[in-house]
Amino acid sequence: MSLAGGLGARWAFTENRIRSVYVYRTDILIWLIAPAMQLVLMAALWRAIYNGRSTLDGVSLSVMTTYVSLAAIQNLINWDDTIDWLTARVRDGKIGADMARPVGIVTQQVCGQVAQLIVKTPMIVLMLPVIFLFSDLSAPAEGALGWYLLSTLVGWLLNCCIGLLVASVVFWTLEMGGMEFLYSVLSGFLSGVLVPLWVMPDWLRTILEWLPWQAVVYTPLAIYVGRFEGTRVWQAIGVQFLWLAVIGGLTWLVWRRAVNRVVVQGG
Amino acid sequence: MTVRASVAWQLKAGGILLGGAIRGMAQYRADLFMTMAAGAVFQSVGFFALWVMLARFGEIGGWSISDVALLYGIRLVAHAVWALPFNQLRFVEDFVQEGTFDRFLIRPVNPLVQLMTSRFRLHPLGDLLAGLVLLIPAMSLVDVDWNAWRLGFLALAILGGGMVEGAFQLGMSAIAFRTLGTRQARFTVDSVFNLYGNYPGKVFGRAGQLALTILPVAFVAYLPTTVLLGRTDELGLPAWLAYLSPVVGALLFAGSYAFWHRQIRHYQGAGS
Repeated sequence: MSLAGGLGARWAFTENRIRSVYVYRTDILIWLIAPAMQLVLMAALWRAIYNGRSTLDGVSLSVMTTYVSLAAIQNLINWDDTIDWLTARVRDGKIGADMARPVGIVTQQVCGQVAQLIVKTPMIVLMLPVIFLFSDLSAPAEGALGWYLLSTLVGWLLNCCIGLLVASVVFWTLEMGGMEFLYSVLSGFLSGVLVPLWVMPDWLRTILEWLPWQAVVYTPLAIYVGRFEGTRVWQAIGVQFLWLAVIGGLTWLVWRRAVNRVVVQGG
Repeated sequence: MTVRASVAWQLKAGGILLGGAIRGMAQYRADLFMTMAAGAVFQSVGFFALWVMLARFGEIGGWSISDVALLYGIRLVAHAVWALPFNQLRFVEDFVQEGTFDRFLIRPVNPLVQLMTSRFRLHPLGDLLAGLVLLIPAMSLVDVDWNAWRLGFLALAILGGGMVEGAFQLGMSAIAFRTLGTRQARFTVDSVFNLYGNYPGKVFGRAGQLALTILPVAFVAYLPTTVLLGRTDELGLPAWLAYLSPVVGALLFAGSYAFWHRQIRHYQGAGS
C-alpha cells in the first residue's frame, strides 16, 4: 500500500469512527456530566480547606482551583473507550473482521483514539461555564503555554499506549469483569487528577513519581500552574518521552503476540 | 393477575428465588470477587483522596478526618443497604425492552420481589466492606459517647439513608415502564449521591447545602451525622429536621413504591 493510499485509508477509518461516536450523542453529554460534577466537588473541597485563607503552604487558592479545572479538561481528553470497545469486539468475534481489514489492528485503535480526541476537544468549550461558575482558570505561568501543550500531547499519546496495553489483557482473559472500571478509578488517582502530587505525603509521592500515570496528567498541569519551572520543565517532558518509548515499545510487543491468540467462535 | 397478598408468602417465595440466584452467581467465583474488589476500591479512592488532603491541611469546614470518616462510612453502608437487595432495578429497562418482564406478571409473586431476586450481584458487598472499614474505626475515633440511643439512631439513620437512595432508584426504574430509557438519568443521580453525599454539606456553601438538603442527598448521611456529632448548629436549619432523617427515608420509599406500583400498569409487552 502506498503512503498516500495508507493515509487515505486511515483517515477514512478515523472518519468512520467519528461518525459512530457521534451516533451516541447522549453518551457524549454523559462524558461531560461526570467530570463536571467531579470538578464542582473538588473546587468546593479545596475552598473549604483554604477556609478564607488566600495561600496555604505557599500555594494560592487560585492555583488549586486552576489545577482542578485543568484536571477535569485533561480527564475529558484522556478518557476513551478503547478498553470497552475491544472487549466487546473480542467477545462477539467481530475482532476477526477487524483483523482482516487492510489497515492494521493497532492502527485502527489509534485511529479510534484520534476520532475520540477530535470529538471531545470542542466539548471543552461546554465545560467552561462550569469552570468559571464553580472553579477558576487563571492564565498559564509565564512562558508555560507552549510547554503545556506539548506536554499534554505527549501525555495523551502515553495514555493511548497505556490504554492499548491494558485493553490487550482481554485477548487472554476474554472478559474484563469490572477490571476496566477498577483501572479507570485507580488511574484517576495515580495520574494526579484527584490530588496534585505536591500535596501528598513523601512516601506516596515517591511511589507515584516512579509510575507512568503522573506523566499523563500531573506533568502538563504542574507545568501550566508553574510548579515546574526552568530545567525542571525539560526534565519532566523528558521523563514523559521516556515513558512513551517504554510503554509504546511494550504495547507493540504485547499486541504482536496478542493477535495470535485470537479465536473467533462461530461467525 | 392474582398475587397472594400475605407478606410471609412473598418472603418465602423471595427466599426460594434468591437461593436460585445465589447458586447461579456462585458459578462465576473469580468474576464475583473481582467485581466486589472493584466496588470497594471505587468507594475507597474518594476517601483516600480526602485523607491525603486532610493529612496535610488538618480539617475541612471544622470537620476532622475521623468526623468525615464517620459520615463517609454511614453513607457507604446506607448505599449498600439499598444496593444489595435492589441492585437489579438497574435492569428493569432491559426486561421491559426485551419483553421478558411478562413472566414477572404472570407468576403469583410480587413482581418487585421477582425482579430483586432475578440475579444476585455481589458488588454492593464491596461498598459494604469499604463502608464498615471506615465506619467502625471512625466510631471509636470520634468524640461521641455511644450510648444506646445513639447506636439506635445510627442504625435507623443507615436504614433511612438507604431508603432515601433506594426511593430515587425505585422511582426512576418505574419510569422505564413508560419511556424505556432511564440509564443516563439513573447514572447521574447515582453520581450525585456518590459525589456529594459523602462530604459535610457545609463544604458546598449555604446555597449548595440547601440544594443538597432539598434534593435530598443530605438526609442520607450528612444530617444524621451532625446529630451524632452534636453539630446540628452548623446546618442553618431546624435541628429536628436532622433528627427526622430516618423518617424522611421511610416516607420517600413508601411514596416511591406506590409510584412504582402505579407505573407498572403502563407496561406494554414488547412482543416476541
